[in-house]
Amino acid sequence: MMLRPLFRPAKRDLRFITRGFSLSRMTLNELKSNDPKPEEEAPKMKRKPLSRLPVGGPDYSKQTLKKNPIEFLTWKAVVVFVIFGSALTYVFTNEKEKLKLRREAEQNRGMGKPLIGGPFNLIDTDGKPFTQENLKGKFSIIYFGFTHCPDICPDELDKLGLILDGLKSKHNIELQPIFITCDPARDSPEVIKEYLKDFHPSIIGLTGDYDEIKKCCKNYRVYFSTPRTIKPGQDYLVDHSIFFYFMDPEGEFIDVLGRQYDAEEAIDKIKSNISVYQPRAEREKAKAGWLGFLYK
Amino acid sequence: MGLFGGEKTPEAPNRSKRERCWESRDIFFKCLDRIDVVNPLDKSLQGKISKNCSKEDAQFQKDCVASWVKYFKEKRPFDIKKEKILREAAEQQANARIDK
Repeated sequence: MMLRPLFRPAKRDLRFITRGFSLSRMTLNELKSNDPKPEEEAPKMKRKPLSRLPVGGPDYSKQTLKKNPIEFLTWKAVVVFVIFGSALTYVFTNEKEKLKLRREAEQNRGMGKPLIGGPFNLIDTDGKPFTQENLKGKFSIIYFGFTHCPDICPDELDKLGLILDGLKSKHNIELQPIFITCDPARDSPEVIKEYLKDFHPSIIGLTGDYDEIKKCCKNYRVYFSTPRTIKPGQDYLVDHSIFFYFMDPEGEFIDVLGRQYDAEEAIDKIKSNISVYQPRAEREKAKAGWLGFLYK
Repeated sequence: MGLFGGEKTPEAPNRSKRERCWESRDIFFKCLDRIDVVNPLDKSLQGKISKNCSKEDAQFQKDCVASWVKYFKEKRPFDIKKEKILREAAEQQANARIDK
């Protein structure tokens, strides 16, 4: 009750001011308009304050819409929006996918001691030593098998040939393919050399003595059931796991490819893993950086 | 080759030998299909097998080493079962699609 009289005069003052202002503007206009066509200006309605326009009246929209509003729906704007939007979507999905793959690879590598892989000391088909050091500098794909394998290994090694050729021709990627026998007693370097002649020429065959092979299989989590001693000519099969192990150029495990992948899928998977690969030092830098939380 | 016991190394099966073995296996298994035998190692079916498919069986055993023969014979019932399950799943899927 006490506030009312206080506010009234203020309001009245404001009205006076605005009216005075518009009046002065009108007089200014009149002073200037000595041009020859004053009639044409007359029918054009002057802008009234919104509050004085009857809502829904015939001139309402004419009065409220600006003559030249900034148009958002021009075709140019739509094109810019679509291009910009799809570019952003592409970038973000791409980055998200990369992060996902990197995180998976990181989980597979494990903390500290790797879950899969590790040192081994074997010999190739020429009898030369081949250790985990030979994995460095190249992406490798390792397959465990044995030459007397009835059906799965030959199929998988044929598939490996397709994968290697596909990666080379499609993406110009060359892997180091390695075949490690689980059956050292029968698979001498000569036997493996002969055996691998049927498959892709770049496959490196490895064997070694019983304990080295056993250790290597254990490190790669390959089920190993070879008998230690066999009579010459004894005939048996070896149970073993059937995965391709995909290793990075630092000799660390990235991923496995099981039998469910056909060559095309395997090529895509390897390609995407290679394209997101970062060396260990870079990975650790990224983890320590301000975007590090993305890698957790 | 001290590493390998100094014995003559057993010959590794090569591609042509493998393929010959698989071919004989398929011929033998087709014969088993004809007489509705799923498990070739089933004792009670030995008479039937030897009566109808002895020639194919002999060829199979000649073209494949013994361990492979055993392996393939053991594998056959599993493969048939797997195929049946996959076929049924595919049919069910097809039916579900029709129902929609």
